[in-house]
Amino acid sequence: MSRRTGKAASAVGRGVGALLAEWEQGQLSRRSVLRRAAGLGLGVPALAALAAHAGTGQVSAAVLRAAQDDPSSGTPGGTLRVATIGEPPHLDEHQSTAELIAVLGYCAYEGLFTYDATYQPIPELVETHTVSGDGLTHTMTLRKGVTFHNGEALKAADAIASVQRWGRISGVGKRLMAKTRELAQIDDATLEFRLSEPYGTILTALAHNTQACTIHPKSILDAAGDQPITDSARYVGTGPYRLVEWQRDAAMRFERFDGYRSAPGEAPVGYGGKKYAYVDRIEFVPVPDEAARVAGLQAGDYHLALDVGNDQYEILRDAPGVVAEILTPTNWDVFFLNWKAPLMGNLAMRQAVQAALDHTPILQSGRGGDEFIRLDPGLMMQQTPWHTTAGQEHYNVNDPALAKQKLQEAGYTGTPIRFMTTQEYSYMYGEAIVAKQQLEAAGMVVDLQVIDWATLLERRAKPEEWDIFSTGHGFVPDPSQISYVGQMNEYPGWWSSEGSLALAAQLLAAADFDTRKGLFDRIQTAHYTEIPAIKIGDSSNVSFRSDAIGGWDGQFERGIKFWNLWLNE
Amino acid sequence: MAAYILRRLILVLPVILVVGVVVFALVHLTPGEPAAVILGDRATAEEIARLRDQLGLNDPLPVQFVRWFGGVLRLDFGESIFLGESVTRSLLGRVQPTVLLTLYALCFQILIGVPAGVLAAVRHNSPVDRVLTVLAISGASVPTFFLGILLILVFAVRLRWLPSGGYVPFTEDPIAHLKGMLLPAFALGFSAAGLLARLVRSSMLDVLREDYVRTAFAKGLPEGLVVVRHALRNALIPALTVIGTSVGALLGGAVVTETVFTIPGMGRLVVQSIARRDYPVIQGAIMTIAVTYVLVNLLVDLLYVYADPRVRLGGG
Repeated sequence: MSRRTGKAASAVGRGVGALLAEWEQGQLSRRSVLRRAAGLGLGVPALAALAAHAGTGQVSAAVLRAAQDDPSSGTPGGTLRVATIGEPPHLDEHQSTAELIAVLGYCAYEGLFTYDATYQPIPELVETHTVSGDGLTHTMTLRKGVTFHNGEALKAADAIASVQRWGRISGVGKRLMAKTRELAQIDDATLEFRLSEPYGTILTALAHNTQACTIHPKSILDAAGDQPITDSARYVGTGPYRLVEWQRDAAMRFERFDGYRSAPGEAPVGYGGKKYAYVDRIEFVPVPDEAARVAGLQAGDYHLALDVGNDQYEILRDAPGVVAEILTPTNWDVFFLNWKAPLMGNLAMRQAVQAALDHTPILQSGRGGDEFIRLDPGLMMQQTPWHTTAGQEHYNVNDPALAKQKLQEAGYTGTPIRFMTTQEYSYMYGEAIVAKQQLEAAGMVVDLQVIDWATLLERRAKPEEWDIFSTGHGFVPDPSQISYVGQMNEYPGWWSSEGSLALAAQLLAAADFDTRKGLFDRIQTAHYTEIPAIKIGDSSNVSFRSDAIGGWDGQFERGIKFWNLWLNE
Repeated sequence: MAAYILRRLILVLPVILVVGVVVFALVHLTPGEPAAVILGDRATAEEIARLRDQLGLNDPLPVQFVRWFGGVLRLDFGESIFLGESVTRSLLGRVQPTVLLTLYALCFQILIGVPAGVLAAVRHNSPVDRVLTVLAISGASVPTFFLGILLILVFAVRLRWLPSGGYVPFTEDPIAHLKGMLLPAFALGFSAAGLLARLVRSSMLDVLREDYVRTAFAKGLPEGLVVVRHALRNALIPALTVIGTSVGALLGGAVVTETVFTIPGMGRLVVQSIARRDYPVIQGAIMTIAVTYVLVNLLVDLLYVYADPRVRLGGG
């Protein structure tokens, strides 16, 4: 580099440094940043690259986001490499509630509906949707010109076969189909749900991406029946990427689907709208060892490392080439209480557990420092319109004296409380350890059973084997998707009060938001008085990614929008 | 010789039976629900029961064992619960990385361990001996995963000379293949080299004190010739046993190394299958490793004949 060029570069560096400082102090708007960057002769990619090197993790992430928030400014090409914690058993969306299938499936599959930026259902493969006045008939017309990865054109028969298969297999689907009198094909492009009674969450059910109602060719579904599809050549959808190779335990390779027909419109709308498919290929590499995922990200072998623990934040926040961004809280941690077991079947005993716990140290033990945790009684996250503080007087009670009084009321005689947890998810173990100490300080005897996750899944289904287990709950856009609200009396813990079951049934049936919000507020109040579970608090994850990635828009709760990412390489 | 080999091969059968019973019992008596792992956290009890039925997991254990072991005798290990393909196919797809990793690690073990042991013995009680002894003990003591992570941090993260993990088949890109295997093979081989170096040193010291070696020196032969031609061959006989048994250790070590370096081999398959409770794969992989171990040891016994003409096989 010549001396003159070097001086110019250093002036630009100082300019970017000043920009970052002012940005951090809140003195600049996004537009000002871009204007000042243009004044320095920096285009968006150059600013992004410099900002990432100059700033701390959060600041550079914010600047990067500002610089790149125009999703149409991406650069096509390249291979996006993503290190995942493992790989799914298959890619048959209808068959499993595994989150990884949902995350990967978004690349290749689409449903009739999806979510917008505020998690309201919007049409995806559907063009028009009308509802009859009595709410019993939903007519959906499919978009024209959409083809599957195998070249077949999308028709109503494919959509009907997909909905019917999903309705036979998934819990959400079964509930919808139980209210569906008939699913009729009107013509090649139109289908009609004819319901036996109004079902307010029909669009939410069709939009959700966990065990999603994805649409596949009827020919493939007819051949598979209700068995999981295991032949990777038959993972066929209408999404912007198609699976081209799956080397088990080595890599899943997706390639841009040239025949992809995006939804109308010029811009992305949440998980729908325009999908750009910037990168040529996406490779998902299963890297179960967290240290290996982190090292691979630092070494530039991966652009994204998923499921990396928050304790890596301090290490990676200033690492060159890496953006470490603390995300908005999306998960909440929870202890389930077993209503079918003698101990926790007793309300006074559940109240004793609720009263004994001090949630802050529990959360800190599981999730790290204060920047990663948030105390909040809401079962729905603050970024949804469903958030409520109903029942908050029973949240984070931290009153050991009250706990002791409730133990007396319960007639507790020192029977060990079987508390199941696992070290496979370190936060569950960390939280259980502190909770054990707190319960014991209040006079309870705790038998902490540390087992692996597969064993925990098996044992929690057997009511006779446990009293409490710790777990986490991911982000859900609709309260009917909270595991033990939507599956009340089915999810382990078996919340089964008549009043709450009735409220949950009404929540599923009602269509009007205000009515449903009122019902959900009452369910959350009941949650804190009947105590099927103890919500500990919210927690944030950290996004660890290469600073070469563009197009990260900050909506990630239901999965990363890989199709709108690009590479500044 | 042929009769001896045949007899040893027949002895593999009871090994298979014992390993089969033990592995089957251990795997099936370990709690854990494969159907729940496959179906995800929110699967209902009804969905789990349906999948268990499809997978044949509701049959009594003896029935499952007979079905599985009958298949093993026909070289059919059954279907993977998680991967949805035959276990034989799963294993064949992963055998190449593991075998190559083990072979490369074995090369490192021999290339480091034998010269280090010889040098330490020849320079007995010198600073060279002490340095090599410290290195050998360190090699044998440092856990492979720790060494692996250190190597990744230095050569992949800091220097960016080599990839942090992954596997490229030799036929696809030989250079990328060798670059990818260098760190894991070294991490695995270095640990094993420490033990070998200690053994070769001790064995060489014994041989160097033998009369015929003293005679060779007395005849005025150069030191290098005496050490390499006269002493080393005899000193390597006990080392052969260690190299043979270390194949088992290297195969076992590959479980950890493959996980750290993201190599899709049999070791990582075993680790992941345990988490997934993929019974047929765990059983098939361990059976394969056990049989390989037995066969490698048979090979080592045969090599004895060439290393030491006094040894006669099958003589009772």
